[in-house]
Amino acid sequence: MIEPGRGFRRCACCAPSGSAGGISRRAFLAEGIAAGAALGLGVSGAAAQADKPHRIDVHHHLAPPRWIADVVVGRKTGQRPLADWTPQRSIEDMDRGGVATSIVSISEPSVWFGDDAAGRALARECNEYGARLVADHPGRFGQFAILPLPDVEGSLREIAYAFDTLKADGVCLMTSYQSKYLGDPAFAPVMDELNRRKAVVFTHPVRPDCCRNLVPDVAEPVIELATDTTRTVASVLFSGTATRCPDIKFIWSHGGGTIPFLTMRLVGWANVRKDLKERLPEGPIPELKKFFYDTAQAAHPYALSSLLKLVSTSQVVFGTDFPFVTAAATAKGLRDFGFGDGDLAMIERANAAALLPRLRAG
Amino acid sequence: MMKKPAQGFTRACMCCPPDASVAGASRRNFLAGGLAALGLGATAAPARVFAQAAAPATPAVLPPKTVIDVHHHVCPPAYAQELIARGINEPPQLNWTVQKSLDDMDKAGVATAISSITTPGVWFGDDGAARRLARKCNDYAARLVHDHPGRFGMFAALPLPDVEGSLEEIEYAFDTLHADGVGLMTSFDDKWLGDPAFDPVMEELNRRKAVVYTHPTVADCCRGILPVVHRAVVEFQTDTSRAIGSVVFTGTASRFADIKFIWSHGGGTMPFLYERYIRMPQLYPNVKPNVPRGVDYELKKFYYDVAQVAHPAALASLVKVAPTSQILFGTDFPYRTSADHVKGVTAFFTDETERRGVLRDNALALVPRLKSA
Repeated sequence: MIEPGRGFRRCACCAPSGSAGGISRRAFLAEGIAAGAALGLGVSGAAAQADKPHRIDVHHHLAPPRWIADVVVGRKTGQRPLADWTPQRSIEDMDRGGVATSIVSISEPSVWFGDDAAGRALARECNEYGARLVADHPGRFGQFAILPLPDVEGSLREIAYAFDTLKADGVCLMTSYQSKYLGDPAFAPVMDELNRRKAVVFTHPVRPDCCRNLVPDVAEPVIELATDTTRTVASVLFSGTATRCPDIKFIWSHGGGTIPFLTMRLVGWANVRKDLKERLPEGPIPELKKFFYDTAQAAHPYALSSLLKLVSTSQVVFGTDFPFVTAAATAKGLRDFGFGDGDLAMIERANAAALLPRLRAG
Repeated sequence: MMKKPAQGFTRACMCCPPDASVAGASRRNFLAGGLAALGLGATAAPARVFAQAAAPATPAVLPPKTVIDVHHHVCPPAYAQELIARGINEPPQLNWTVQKSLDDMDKAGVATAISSITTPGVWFGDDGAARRLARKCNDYAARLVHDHPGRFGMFAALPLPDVEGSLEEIEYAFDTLHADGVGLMTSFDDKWLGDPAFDPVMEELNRRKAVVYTHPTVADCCRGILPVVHRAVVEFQTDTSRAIGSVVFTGTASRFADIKFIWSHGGGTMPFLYERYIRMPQLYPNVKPNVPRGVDYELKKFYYDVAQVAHPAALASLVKVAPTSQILFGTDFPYRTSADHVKGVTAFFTDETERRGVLRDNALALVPRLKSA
């Protein structure tokens, strides 16, 4: 048995919004403060400094000023670590945690809040900011462009701009939009275009409408965020999207939400619904083994021991959830899990480098 | 690292195939699901999915009829009538007979199954009707215990969220029927088990040092949320995770420390999310007073059954969270079989004492009455 760690300093991915069930605003501000404090903690300084930057972080949030103003402050999301974000904080954390390159992405709740034009404008501004960040710090950053989904037409335009003009490394999608999951037919044009471009699609969970304010005294990030990843994986599988779009390289956050633990539920459902065989000819397992899974908030034995029963280390990619979790703490979690040097080299760099054209040469 | 996935591993069945209300599932399909669930799926599917389990399973070392199943559903006639009247088409339940239970148990060396009513439970909005249905179900289960000496125990159904009716039924179930514990859904009417509304029931169960077996249901939030994907795939186990969070962070677990909670399906998805539970009080200091002994203390004290999770991807995580002494054998019969679960447990727990603990001894320690069974 592995003794569970005591006194965790890491913070929940994405602090609850002001509407978190039973959790006061003061409490989630406290989370923000705790998260801020976490930036300097979690690893012994000497070990970290000795660590030559080589890692690639595929789950690293940026927060452009306009996004902070419109979303974090404007919509009172309570995500204090994002409100405090600066490029310098990213770079310092990367240096401490041995990260060479971070592929930045916008966190939940993304950029669309009911007005397509506003969503498009905010997506564009975020992506241009991200592109400048990449240009200004050669080698240190890549970006997964945010799309203004559920606005499909706007998203198609942003895909073209992000890849053709900004040279994005992929796109960042939320796990659901207005209770529609990524396999929803409404999103098929976007998925088909991403498939045509053989795109890397990084996904990030949201706290879905179904499940806000649900359980008094249980903060949404404890259960609801990860579960939304699980739902969207199921949606992508059983809608036939994974089969129809085999060239999309999906990266699921947080070790796959809770998918590995529920593997046999998916298998069982495929068995019950034999009529879905056309959509998923080989069943869920080959698709699940083909996806990529990041280590953000999952660099611990409780998730990794389960995930690694489902997929091989070739599908696991280093991700931190910065600024909610430090790179150093994530790297330490992986080392403590007991990975050998070969596996670590794959997870922390080689797998992502093979996935992302920008980094292939590096 | 992993073997190429095998074809045709999809013999396993769902807990609760879809009912008529499931989006995208045709009647024909869920009938098929029900049939598949009724024993056709006895192969050890996990062995074909996970390389780890592909090694030939060590033959069970226990003598025949020693296994104890704490997650075994019965469907008393009154309950079947209620399901039919409500248009809830659950072939595995509607087709259930005592003989089918006994046959399935005999095939896998199960000595005793502790029966329970599965989701959606007995309360459908009318307290009086729920009380009557709970009583009929419990009387039926007690007769089953009596008529088949040693083969059955019972977790009594309660008509929650009706608190007063539940208190009456607790008294009847324990004092008259000598139930082994109670069986609760993870949530009732969108209230999870730590809700203050249920405190009087928890207080009484605590006074009786009761075993409280829990079974997930789908909360109103999450009905029909995914087209084509049945709620048993994601939502059921997630609701167990919520109930665990609710019981721990509201302080129900620490205030009513003599209750022995059994969480179905290896704890829902809690083990995978364990670190997020552990961190809660640090991030949300307002819940700290509710967890005076720490989150980890409570999570390690609970019991977890292996129904639907007797496969390495779940068990590998569960055993990191809880000592093996807290893990109990469960099957989810009639949705799954005893044989495939014995196989899954036997393949995973290679240490004989641990395996014996999971298959029998841990449940005996929890329900000593079964020693004489």
